[in-house]
Amino acid sequence: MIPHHRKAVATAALILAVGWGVAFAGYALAGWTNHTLEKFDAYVQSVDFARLSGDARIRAIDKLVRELRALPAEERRQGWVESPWSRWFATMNDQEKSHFAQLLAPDGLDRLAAAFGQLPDERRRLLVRNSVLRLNDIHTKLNPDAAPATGGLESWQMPADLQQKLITDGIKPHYEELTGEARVDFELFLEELQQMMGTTEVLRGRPFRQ
Amino acid sequence: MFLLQLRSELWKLFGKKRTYIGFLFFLLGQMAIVLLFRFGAGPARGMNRMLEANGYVARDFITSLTVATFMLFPIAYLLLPLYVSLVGGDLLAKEAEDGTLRMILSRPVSRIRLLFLKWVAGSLFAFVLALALGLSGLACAALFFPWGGLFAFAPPQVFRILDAASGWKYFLLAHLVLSLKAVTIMGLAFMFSCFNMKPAAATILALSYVFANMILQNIPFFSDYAPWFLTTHLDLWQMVFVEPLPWWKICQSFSLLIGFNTTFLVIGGLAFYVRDIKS
Repeated sequence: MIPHHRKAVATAALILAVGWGVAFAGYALAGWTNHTLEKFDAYVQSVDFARLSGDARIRAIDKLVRELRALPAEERRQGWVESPWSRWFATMNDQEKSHFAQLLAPDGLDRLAAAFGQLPDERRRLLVRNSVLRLNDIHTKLNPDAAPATGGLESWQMPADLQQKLITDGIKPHYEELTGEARVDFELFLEELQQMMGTTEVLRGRPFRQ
Repeated sequence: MFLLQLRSELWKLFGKKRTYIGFLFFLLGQMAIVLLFRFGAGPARGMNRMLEANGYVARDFITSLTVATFMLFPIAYLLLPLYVSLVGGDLLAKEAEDGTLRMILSRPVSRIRLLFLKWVAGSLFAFVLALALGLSGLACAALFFPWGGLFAFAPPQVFRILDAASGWKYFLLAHLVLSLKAVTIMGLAFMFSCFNMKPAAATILALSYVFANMILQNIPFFSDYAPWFLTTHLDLWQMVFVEPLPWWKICQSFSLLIGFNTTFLVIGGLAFYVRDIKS
């Protein structure tokens, strides 16, 4: 090999090493900024909400919702079902609960409600049923030792009369009646419903499969 | 001086008729899709059914944005790699084939500088072609469909409904990210064109590499190896339609594409630097 070729090969190897060094550093850094359920749980556990006061409480709630919303759909639902913020919720005042529920409202709630209202009864029934079954499935997987569901929203067995109410009256009237924790629970159902309405599976009329 | 030389390279590049093949076929392909969708009975009915079965008012979402977006997927998969690699494969190999390379290098410009100038010119072409793909798609669709919300498929099996303002923002972002795919494939073909081979061979080698990656990536049993395939990272533009926007994944693929592009440029540069140019 001619000496100046040898130098060129060495320079190329050096540039490649630096280039891939930067690439892998960027890859690792980007991976580190990934939002995961573990990081979300760690954040919730790291904050002693009861000790916060004033604006710091609102900022903590804002960050909690931001972190939850940044999770991929599957993990977000799991995080929501787990509700690690229950400890926070117990010490929130009504205004904070309402702020929390408002932040958790799904994007395009009006559009979702309108679209749901346009569907025939049979399709609405299928969507409601599938959404509840799916949430119940997540809940059961997370709490394998829990007692069988008794019919409350907390166990993701939505009472049959509420399901029927949603099918006949639509989403909005029931949503507007709710406050506090009940609204937060219902928003999880809406999130699931929105997800279901954004898949082609349900369009084909397929029932939920575990 | 660099800008002057770059202008000269761009002048040369955009002075060739073959540079415009991509723009022309995008326009023809998009117009054919739009006309079929508008006047054919089947396609529009299928989308109507899909939207209305989910409660959405079809006329609000069968819009120029939606049509331009669904056209983007097949074209970005197949035609875009073809046209950028055609130009990338031509950049140096064509000069060697025509016998103009020796004459250029007899001037006071180093091989590395010439190579870099050509790569920048090719990258600018790829960037413009990716943006033109979006603009021409939107222009064709706007002739027959109104402006409005966006209905886009986001893998896997989930679709997104967006209002016009957000839809336009995501559409533009998808094209900006797509331009990185165009630049990378152009760089790959450019790397092959630095070796002693015909322009067509450089183009075909680049396309073969991309399609081989695509085939491997699409074998279901190989899904664990997906991060190792170039095409996994080239498809990062589709992530733009996923909710919530997975910035971390986009940044990861972006970082690896920096590595790939550096590799293509350095290997090409080295081959060109040590090459004995005889004609």
